[in-house]
Amino acid sequence: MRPIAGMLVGVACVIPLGSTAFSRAVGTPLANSKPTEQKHILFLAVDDLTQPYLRLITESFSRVILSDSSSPVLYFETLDALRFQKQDYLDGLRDWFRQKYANTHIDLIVAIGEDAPAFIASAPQPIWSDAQVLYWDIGWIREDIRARLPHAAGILLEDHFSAAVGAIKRILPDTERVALVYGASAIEAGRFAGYSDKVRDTGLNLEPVVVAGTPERSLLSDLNALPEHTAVILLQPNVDVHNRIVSPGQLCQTLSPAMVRPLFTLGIQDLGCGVVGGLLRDWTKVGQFIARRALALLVTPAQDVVTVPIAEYTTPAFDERQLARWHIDEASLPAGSLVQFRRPSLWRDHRTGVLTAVGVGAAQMIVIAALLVEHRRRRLAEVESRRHLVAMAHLDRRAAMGELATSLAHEINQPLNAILQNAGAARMMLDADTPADSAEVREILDDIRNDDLRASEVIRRMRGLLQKHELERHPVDLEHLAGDTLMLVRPDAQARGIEVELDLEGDLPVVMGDRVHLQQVLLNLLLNGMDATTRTPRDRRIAIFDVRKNGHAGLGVRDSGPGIAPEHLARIFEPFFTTKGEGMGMGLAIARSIPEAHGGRIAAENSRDGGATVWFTIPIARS
Amino acid sequence: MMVMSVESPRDIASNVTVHVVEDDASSRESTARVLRAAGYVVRLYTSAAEFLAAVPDGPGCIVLDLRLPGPSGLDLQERLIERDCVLSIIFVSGQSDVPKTARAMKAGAVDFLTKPVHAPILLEAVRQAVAHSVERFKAREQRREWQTLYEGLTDREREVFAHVISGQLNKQIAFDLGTAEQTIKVHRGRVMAKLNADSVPDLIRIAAALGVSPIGRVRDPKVL
Repeated sequence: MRPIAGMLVGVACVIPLGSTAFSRAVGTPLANSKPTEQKHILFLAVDDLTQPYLRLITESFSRVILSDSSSPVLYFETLDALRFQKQDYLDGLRDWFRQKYANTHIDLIVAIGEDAPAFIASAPQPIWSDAQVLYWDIGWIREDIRARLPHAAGILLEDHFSAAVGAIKRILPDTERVALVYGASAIEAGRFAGYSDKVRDTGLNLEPVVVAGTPERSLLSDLNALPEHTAVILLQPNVDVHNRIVSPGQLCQTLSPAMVRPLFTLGIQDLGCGVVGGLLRDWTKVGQFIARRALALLVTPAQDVVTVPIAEYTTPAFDERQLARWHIDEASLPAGSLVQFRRPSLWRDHRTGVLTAVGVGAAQMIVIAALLVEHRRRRLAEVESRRHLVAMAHLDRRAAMGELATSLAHEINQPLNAILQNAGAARMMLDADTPADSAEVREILDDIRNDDLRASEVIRRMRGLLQKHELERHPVDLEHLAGDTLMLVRPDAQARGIEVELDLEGDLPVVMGDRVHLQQVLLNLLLNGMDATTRTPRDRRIAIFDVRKNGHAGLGVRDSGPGIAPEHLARIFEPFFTTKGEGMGMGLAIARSIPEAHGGRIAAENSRDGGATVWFTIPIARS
Repeated sequence: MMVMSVESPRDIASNVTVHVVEDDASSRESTARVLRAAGYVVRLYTSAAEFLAAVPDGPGCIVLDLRLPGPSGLDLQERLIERDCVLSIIFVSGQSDVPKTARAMKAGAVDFLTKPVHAPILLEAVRQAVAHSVERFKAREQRREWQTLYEGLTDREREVFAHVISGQLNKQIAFDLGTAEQTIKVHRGRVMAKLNADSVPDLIRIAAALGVSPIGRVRDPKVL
């Protein structure tokens, strides 16, 4: 039953923590239903309980107290001493408390702020008789308090101000001055009287500047008027002309956007209001510490002062926006610093989205990479297939030249024969008894030279076609190509009784292509045409003609053969298709791939007078 | 045996002509040069058809390219045989084609040269060919003379001639022809006189040249 009642009380206390009307609202019902064994703790603060630092303290204090198994009952009161300082107010307040707690036994009073123990001690009669007092202060305990509350227990927070100033100097090494800003109240004047000396005593070569009691409207200009390399520390809450308590945090929010000097405070509650941060009092820790001491005192009363070292109640904490604003490197912050208010970061705020985007991007990259690889593979395959084409074309040329070999040998033999005989004749003339006719010998020598040139010309024509040759592009004169190729096949044609003629319109355009391969195509068409003519009893005739069409030009061969069977017409350029019985059927397939490799085409049809017509075209060279 | 001839051997030699049938101008000219340098009369033709347009009758030889546009060398050879031409043929070819060579040689070609042809080899071939042609020319002239004389014989004399060349004696001929031996003797004498023959072997040679077949059987004298 008891724990449940305690919890109910706890809940009742925690819920209205933020409200200043708390005491009045819940005081009476609690008094009526007080379980006798339960301990009662009064939390008496000097400042308004809604001050941010006090909210942190009360919250953590309450949490620790209420979670204790003894389930103490909590009361919160404030002197609101910043705003109300008259002695009769304090006297009236005492009377009011006495009335209020007449039927409530308080076991422990936690007095927060230096004037709270004074308020208790200065009462002519104790308000809460038999109550232990736990007070709390920073830096030192006032002697008068020690004297007036000899049985009280104390908590002394080690003064961290010097350490906080040191932390400022550390993150802003150029700092030369420290401005101490506080209000005009007597309490403040008392509290901060020694701070200038503390600044000097840091040994960091810093000059204190006191800005006390400056009205809020001129505070900004006054602070901005401070020399460069001045760090501004806002100390205590101020009370403005409307009797509003202005916490350093609130003040910072007004000042910070227009400040040209960095702002600091001493408590963690102000972080996010425009202060840089620093070594800050962590009021949550303080609240917990007080609560634990209070619980201990309820069990074992004591009268000593426990000192809390700086490190145990402060936290180095910073506002990332302000660090960036004052160009402070995060690396210069003390170890273990808490950096808050990081600006919106895609990674932090939209991790899933970022991951998705990165994933999609990565997938895209992979696809692109795959496509590139594929493209490269295709190019390699093209190169490979071109190499195959080149190799096949070479074999095909050799086969074609093989067909012509006999007649070409004859073609070379003719001039060789003439040379041999001319040489013999010249020798006979010189050997003769009658002196040789020099004019005739000269004529013989001329003929020998001409025949030699003629033989080498035949060899030149053959050699180009017999060599293995890569596809290269140069301007090619189609007329010359046609004439040269005709010369190659003419001996063979003559031997087979085939009449070959050139049927060119003249002034043929120059095309871009590989001369040897184009000649091979024409040669192939001529050999096919010649074969075709021998399959009919008609006159054996073939003609080379020229084609010009839409920026393309080429050559074709017309024969007097039987023509191509209509069912074969579509297939003659396919590899391994042959109607000849001998041969691989690669000739026309190669003849097709060569113009296609040049960006051209090859076509075949039957002439009206019978016989086949096959031609190729490739793009004309741009002049 | 007395050989009759229209022209003296010297005349024949000077009348010898070497004909060159060759479509390739260079080869034709160079061959002609070699032959002229050796003292031959040379005539040039670019095709078989051109040569056949006026086939010369005298002795000599043809240097004939096997491979010609139009009628080939072998075609030309056939035509010349038909025309009883005494010109010897030397074939010249770019390649040694065994079947064609065999055919040409069977048909009476005297030589078959493969291009390129050395001048001395050509000249030696021409020399032999010309000599052969002159022989054939002379033989042909003789045969033509005998033919004329033979045509001067009466039917009876031709009958007797056919029997005489079979080796029959006058008595046997007379028996076969059903006449007197004396009559046969008179006929025989007239045949001998008309054909300018001195002896039976002469008659037999003439008969062989003219293709006259002997008639009658020679019987064993002992059986007689």
